[in-house]
Amino acid sequence: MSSTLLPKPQMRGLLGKRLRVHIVGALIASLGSAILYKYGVAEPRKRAYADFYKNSDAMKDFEAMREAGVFESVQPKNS
Amino acid sequence: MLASRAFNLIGKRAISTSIGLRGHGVAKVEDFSLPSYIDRRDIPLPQLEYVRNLSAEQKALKEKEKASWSALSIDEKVGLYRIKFCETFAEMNRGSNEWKTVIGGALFFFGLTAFIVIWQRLYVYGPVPHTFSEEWVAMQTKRMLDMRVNPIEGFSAKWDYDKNEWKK
Repeated sequence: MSSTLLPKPQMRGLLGKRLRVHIVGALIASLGSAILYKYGVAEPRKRAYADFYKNSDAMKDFEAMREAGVFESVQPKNS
Repeated sequence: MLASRAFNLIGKRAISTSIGLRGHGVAKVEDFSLPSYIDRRDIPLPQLEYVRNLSAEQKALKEKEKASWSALSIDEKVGLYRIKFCETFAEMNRGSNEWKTVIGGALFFFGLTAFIVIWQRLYVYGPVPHTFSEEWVAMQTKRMLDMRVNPIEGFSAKWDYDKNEWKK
């Protein structure tokens, strides 16, 4: 056994300290992941859809698909 | 109380039934309902003292303990501690190299399984369906593009319909 005294360890407030640390951490983690998702996934997706529908012509796509022969209700125009 | 009894069931055999640990006394299987000694972090004060049968000098030490404790020397205090407890917290919490064995064993069996899987692929599985052939997959891809599968963010979004090629 050594004769030098160890410093007295922290005896009180352990749970309070742990709660404070973890509540702050939980707030940061959850807000962070929400913000990352919003600006990493949700906003680009909304922009992609908006851009697609800005310049989309449904009838043109339909005619293209008809020519390719994927429909059963309409046949390509030349056949 | 019940929880510590349950814990005692797990560690009991190793701690209390070997002659070697005791140093003296007959090794007999004890009734599990009797109080027992165990070194556990969450049971800091076990139900018994560690040493059951005190030697003569240990008995003398115990007598000295009844007087003022400041009269005890450091070594006597350690002696009293060792009567009461088997391992210190530092000793009972010591790490070991077991993790290396565990990881090594797990990875070894992982690799062994790889051999089994390869053998299985060669000798057990039959041929792959014809729909996986290059030509079929090409026809399938063309049909998916014709149908405009996922034109906004997915499959057909990566195809350039004007130049008839994949987008760069």
